[in-house]
Amino acid sequence: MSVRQTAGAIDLAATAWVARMDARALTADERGELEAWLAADPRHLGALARARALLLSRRDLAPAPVEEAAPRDRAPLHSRRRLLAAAASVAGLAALGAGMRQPAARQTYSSAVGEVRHIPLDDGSTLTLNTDSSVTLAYTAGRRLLYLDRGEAFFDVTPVSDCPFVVRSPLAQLATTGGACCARLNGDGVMTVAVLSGKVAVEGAPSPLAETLDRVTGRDWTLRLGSRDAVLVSGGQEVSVRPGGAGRGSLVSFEAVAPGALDRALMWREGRLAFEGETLAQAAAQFARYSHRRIVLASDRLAQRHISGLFQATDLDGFARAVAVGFSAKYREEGDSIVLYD
Amino acid sequence: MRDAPPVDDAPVQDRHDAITRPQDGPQRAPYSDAPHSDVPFSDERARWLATHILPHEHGLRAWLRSKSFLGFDADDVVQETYAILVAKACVAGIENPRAYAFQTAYSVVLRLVRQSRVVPIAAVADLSTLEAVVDAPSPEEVTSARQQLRLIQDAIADLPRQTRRAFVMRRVEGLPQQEIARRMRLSENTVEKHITRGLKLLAERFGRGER
Repeated sequence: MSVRQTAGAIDLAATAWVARMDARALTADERGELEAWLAADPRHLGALARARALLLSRRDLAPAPVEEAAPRDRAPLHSRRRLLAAAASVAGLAALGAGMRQPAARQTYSSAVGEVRHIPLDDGSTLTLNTDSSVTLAYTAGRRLLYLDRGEAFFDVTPVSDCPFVVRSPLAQLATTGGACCARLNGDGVMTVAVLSGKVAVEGAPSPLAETLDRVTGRDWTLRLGSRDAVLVSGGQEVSVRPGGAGRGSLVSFEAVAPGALDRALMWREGRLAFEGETLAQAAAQFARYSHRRIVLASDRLAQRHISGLFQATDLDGFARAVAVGFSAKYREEGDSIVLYD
Repeated sequence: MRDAPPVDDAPVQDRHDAITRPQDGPQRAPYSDAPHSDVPFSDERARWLATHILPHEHGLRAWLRSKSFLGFDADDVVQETYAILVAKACVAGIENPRAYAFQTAYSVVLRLVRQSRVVPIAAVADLSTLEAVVDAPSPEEVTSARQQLRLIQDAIADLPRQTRRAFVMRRVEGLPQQEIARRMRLSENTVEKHITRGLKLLAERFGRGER
């Protein structure tokens, strides 16, 4: 066991860091050093926060200037908006930056088990939720931000100039200007992103520490400029994102996609499951996502048989019947399960 | 979603936008006059801590000291409490920051006591009564908070002259370190050292009522 640092020693280090960051920007080396120091002990962050708060002057503590103080003789809203639009086109994106600080109204859409929901969005895009899924919208003036909270969602994105479409999950962030893609949080902790059209930038989540720092700064983690982890995914490609292991960020890797596989995988949007050579075990796992009932394969021989065909995702009985006929098996219901046996 | 990170109103640079809009440079809070971008939390949160938590730190420490027979170090608990408060995604919903700080500290104490190999028998009974203390500040707490402000002023007054000047310019007048260096005709490095020294003293004395 290492010797515990005293609170006083921690305070000393924390005050030196705060004074340094107060004086100037840290060098890359110093930033790494600070990260390492913060990661070493939770008290370090606390001492840093406390020292920073202690250094704030009365001027720092004065109420922040309110943006758009809106005097009464201001032009009516609609013409102000036009002015803003004009300013944005001339002065680039400065005006949008102000817009992005407006807190977004959040709205969450969820689907029940077995349900597929099509949700038209105000910007012309469409959101399709697969079974047992949840997406939260947090649109702002400069960015269409969504959180994939659970499950799987298909995004058909209408291009809007200067307003990227960004989807975040705990594992990764996707960004596109327009196109169609499908993101799924799998039960095994892996996320897959399939792109149907357009280009989607995918970046794995940073390390837990970097994530904490970003969250604490209120910056959130976002695609980093020049990040080695960000990959550009084009139509017909699929990537998977998995946790990178202790202290590491997520890893993004391209997956081999057989011709037609993406289209088949996306049949869920019509409430169907398409198989082409999957094992019955894999198929049963797929059906399990759409129902509280389960398909149980009583023998390994059955579980390893391959199946092709198009099925209603919620029609477990239909699937069981088809398997029984196709593989000359039998089936019986046992409570919430349909047991297939030889 | 109340606890989701408050990203949308964060007046800070957004690195994602740099991908799609490379011309969009980093943005800084309009009122920040120093390069704080490396500080791993927002100015906003630091202000919240300074306004809503620091004033209760003395009371919190007094309360923690009265439980110190449980075998934990009050300084450790305070630092961990600040860490939790600064890392919390959103503080907008906290109506009573004082009570929240006490409860957070209480949860830290609980964990420390549970982790320690030997838990005094009295601890078990006493822990259950910890929560009841978290009501309103007592008159004593208010008075001693005032007293300790004076203690801090005295402590700052006792600083070496140069250190005191630099620290007062930074902390009281809110001047950036660069400007202080210019006015005092010192190197920025030296000013940084003075600030560190002054801040260290403040960090030691503040809330502890030490002389």
